[in-house]
Amino acid sequence: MTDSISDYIIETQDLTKIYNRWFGLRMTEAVMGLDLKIQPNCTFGFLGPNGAGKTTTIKMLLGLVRPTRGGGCVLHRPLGDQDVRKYIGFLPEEPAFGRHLKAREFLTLCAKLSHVEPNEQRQRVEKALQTVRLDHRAGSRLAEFSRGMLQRIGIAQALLHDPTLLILDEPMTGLDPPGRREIKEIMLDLRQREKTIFFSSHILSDVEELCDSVGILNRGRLVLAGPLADLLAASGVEYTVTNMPATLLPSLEPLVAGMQKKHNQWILQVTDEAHQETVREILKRGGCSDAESRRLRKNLDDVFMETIEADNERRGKETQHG
Amino acid sequence: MDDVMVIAQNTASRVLRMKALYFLLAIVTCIIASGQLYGDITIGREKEYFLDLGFAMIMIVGVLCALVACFDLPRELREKTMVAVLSKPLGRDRYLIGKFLGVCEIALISMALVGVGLMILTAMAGRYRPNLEIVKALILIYAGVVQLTAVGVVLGTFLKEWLATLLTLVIFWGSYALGYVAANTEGFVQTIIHLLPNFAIMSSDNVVARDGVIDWRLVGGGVLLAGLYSLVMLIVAGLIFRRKDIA
Repeated sequence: MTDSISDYIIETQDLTKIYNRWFGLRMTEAVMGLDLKIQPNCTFGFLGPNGAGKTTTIKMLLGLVRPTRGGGCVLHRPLGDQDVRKYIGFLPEEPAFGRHLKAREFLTLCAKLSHVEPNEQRQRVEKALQTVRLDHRAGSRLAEFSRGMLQRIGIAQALLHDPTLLILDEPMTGLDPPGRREIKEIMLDLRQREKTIFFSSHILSDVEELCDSVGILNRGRLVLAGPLADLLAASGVEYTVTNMPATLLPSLEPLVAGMQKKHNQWILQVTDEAHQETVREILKRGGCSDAESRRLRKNLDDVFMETIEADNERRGKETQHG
Repeated sequence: MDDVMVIAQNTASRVLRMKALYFLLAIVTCIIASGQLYGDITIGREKEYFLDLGFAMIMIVGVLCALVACFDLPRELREKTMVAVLSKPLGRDRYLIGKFLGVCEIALISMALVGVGLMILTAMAGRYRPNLEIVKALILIYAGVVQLTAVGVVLGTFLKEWLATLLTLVIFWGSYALGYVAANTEGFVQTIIHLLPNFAIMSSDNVVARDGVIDWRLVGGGVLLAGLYSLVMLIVAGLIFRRKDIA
């Protein structure tokens, strides 16, 4: 695949948003120099601590917020393009919709605004209500809805017009466990239907379960991005050794990252690539040639925390030196 | 144009579902009806008094409806309901036009209801008949309300609810008062007066009260002025709103 603009569903270059308040006396750097590339048919998890700039980025992609610098394309059209929104389904972070409207009225309004054909509107609205399991509350006013129900209505309005790209800002927030499972099922179904999903979330286990790629944003800067499989890729080997002689322990201790004894088994974790061969040799020489090995896999929690902490530390040092 | 009408309809339906609107209309109709009780203290001029009171009440209803434009936009921005709507393939200009038309629709319905009430009460009084001049005066009041709505939309795009409402009321009061002295001013003051909406056209109800005739040309001119003024105001609002971050 070549690296041309047309290959990406979302592409940004140096996307920056600085909020100026009090005529420039107070400046907040919300997003700085963001370069994102999202492949078609991919589920992209956009991660970051609170205030990292995720929502601002999403709003810039949708043309709701004007970038201070930089730009990009969404579905091969420049940011802020009005027509491209026909192909985008968006769930805002706060599902604030017209509280005076009934669920069905609200979805009909959204169907009209999303340019759904008039003869299809009714059918699409009913289908969307069924998808988010709110068909029994279609006649209730949104003012009567709980946060979780509003979230579902938000997802329903995002799906109404069968968009090519879904941008979901914290879709799992406010949902109970069954609700979360339902939304995950919807997202997995959309993924199977080759839709591109860009979603931000704090629930890393969900991201790990759903995403092909992730990007981690910290204090407005993208600090890590790539396919999830690569980011969580093997970072070491775990050996399970039965009846290991205690005499081997002194020579193994400096080489392993972790050692644990369970009954008559030792579990040795070797994260340093350079030590893996030496450990294997020691075990072989010690008569433990039956040791089982398996590649260690990181979890997203660890990757996220390591990345954020390393970035904060680096920036702290930069600030001290600067 | 469909999406503009969808926004207009949504704006109107939200206000039409507010109980406060019907309470206001009921109160105003009662005040107009009570005007018939003052025959004795108006020294035989109860007709002028009654019609004056009726038109004043209709104008108040119209102005209150126009103020919806001032707080509806900032409220939607504050409550973030605007985010979901503007993420649809809807231009910001069209959204503003929809809001403007929705508020105009509310004002039209409310003023028409009170206007019909005024006509019925006039007919019930028996001593004078409802006539076309009342309709002409109502059209001119509505033309003023449309201009005020457009001012409200402009201010609502960049000010907070309370400030936009307050400033719109100040502009209404100032323009209404300055409209009377416009002919006697010159230079900068006159320019300012011409930049403000012309609410002097709302005052032709006095002519009706005195059995006068309102020229159709004045009605046409008033409507044209309201249309042009609103157009200019909406363009200004669009220019401001296009640059606004919907954060």
